[in-house]
Amino acid sequence: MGGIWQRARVSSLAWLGAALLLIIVPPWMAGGYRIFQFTFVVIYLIAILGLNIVTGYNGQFSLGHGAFYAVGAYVTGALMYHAGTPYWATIPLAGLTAGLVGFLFAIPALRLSGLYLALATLALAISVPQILKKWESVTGGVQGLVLTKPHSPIGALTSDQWLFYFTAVVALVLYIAAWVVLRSSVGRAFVAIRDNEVAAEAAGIPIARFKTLAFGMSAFYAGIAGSLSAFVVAYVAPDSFDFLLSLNLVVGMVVGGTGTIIGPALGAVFIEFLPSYSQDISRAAPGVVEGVVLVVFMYLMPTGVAGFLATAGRKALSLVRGRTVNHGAAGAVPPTLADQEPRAGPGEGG
Amino acid sequence: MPKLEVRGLTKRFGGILALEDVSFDVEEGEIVGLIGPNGAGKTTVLNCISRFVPPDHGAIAYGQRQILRLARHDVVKAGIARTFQQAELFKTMTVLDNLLIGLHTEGQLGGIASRFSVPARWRTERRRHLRAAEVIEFLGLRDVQHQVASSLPFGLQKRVDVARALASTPRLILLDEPASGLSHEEVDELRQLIVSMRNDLKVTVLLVEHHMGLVMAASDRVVVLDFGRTIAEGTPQQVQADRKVIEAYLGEERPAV
Repeated sequence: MGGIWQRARVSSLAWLGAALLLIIVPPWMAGGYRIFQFTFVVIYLIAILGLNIVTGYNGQFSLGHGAFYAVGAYVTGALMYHAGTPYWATIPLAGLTAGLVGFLFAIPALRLSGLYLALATLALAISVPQILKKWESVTGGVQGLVLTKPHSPIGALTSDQWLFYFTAVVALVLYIAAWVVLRSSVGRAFVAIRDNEVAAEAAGIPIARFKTLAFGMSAFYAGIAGSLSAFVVAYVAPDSFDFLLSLNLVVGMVVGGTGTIIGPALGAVFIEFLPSYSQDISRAAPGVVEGVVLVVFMYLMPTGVAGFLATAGRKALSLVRGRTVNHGAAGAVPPTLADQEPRAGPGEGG
Repeated sequence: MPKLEVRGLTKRFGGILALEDVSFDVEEGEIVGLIGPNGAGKTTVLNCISRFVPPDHGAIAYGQRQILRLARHDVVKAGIARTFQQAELFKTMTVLDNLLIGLHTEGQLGGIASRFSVPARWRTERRRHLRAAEVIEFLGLRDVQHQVASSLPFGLQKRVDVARALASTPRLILLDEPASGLSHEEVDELRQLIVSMRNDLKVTVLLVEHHMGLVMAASDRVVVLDFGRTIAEGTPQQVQADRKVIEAYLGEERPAV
């Protein structure tokens, strides 16, 4: 028992160190636009993390997270534009509003599952941008709202560098929060519902409460991502939140590794950089390049990058161990590794 | 002394009368077998008690509690746990995590404060782990506790299902065909397990089962259903000698005219 805790602590310290390194270094590696791209990796990471909670861990398919992202972006946009609220102060309200919308949406959605739930969330993703266009007095209609880009409070940092650090710290806090919740009895209940709803209910888990909680929490994350995007881009417009955004988040989640804790980070890198690299390869048909890359990824890594890395790591480790210490139980997965594995089988969710 | 009282249970599925005025009791500390030919309504009775199926008429009381007023997820809090014919495990989770889910309701009696207090949650989680370890020991699942549930052979999966139900420290356990799909040796282990659950853990057992050998060897009392009606009730010996039971299983004898 103690050993498990110690190992968990060492590995989480290692993760934290890696995360800090990834936060500190990138803005010094490149200039303006690259930093902006890195910032968007972080923003997508938060959104995918949210989507992963409801779809990856809880098994409720959502094609509509772009809508919650849009809600968060517009709360921040409207507060900054109309009320002159400082950008950082709008973030909690943006998250909570999106979370509330997600929670309320989840109540009628409780009756739906699988493909029907996917269609209902799709409807949400399609309708929200249009509602935003109509509600002109607050949202600025088709024109959107032009915001002032936040200045860096630290002289040594450019505005882009500052925004990267700012979003990265928000992401780190949210990441740790998600990690804590998903490893607690709440996260266990989410996965139990995904795995077997009937048995979960028989074990005393109130299904409706946990499903709406997962949806609300998930939308809260998406809303915060949207809020950050609003002031990073310094502009909100309905067309930034089209259905393709929702779909991209799903792609990022699946490619990164559904139902894993590091998957969202990997998926966010993928969806941010794939379009621009596809442009480099073929200016005429970047969509084709994206499609091919996506198919290749799915083919080579059916459990996402996170699942692929876990399997590869396990194989490498057993190879090394097999050579140095030839234990009787050949090929058996060492329990130390099994403990640290993501508890949810990647790829089996959704 | 909680006692399970089933009274006048009636359930119709479309045109089929699955249960017709079924009544029986299970006393505290008893092992009661509920048997009957295929389609007799045994599992429907069990599903009514665990609130998976709402009966059309009738009442189910457990001690002072009216079970039919409880939500499905509150049945386990009333002290009644169940298993499933097909094991129904959380397939991507380890055996240990399956048991921890079985302990989901543990520590929820402390009210709102304990839900939001982090140290209280840790203490609860610690209690869950200790209890899970006990049950894992009791059922001999130690070697497989870190394995993913779906990777286990079916016999072991059914054992994990029983373990998950026992983890909640129930006073009454409803076993839905625990012997189906088990080998001869496994059935014998199961019989010992059922008896030991009652003798050592003081859990009352309602056993829905096809396997006659198991029911007759393990039960104190047997209730026989046929076409949704109770046709006999008594000790295994009495039931085995009952004409109506023999007819139900072997087909009706032609009345001698």
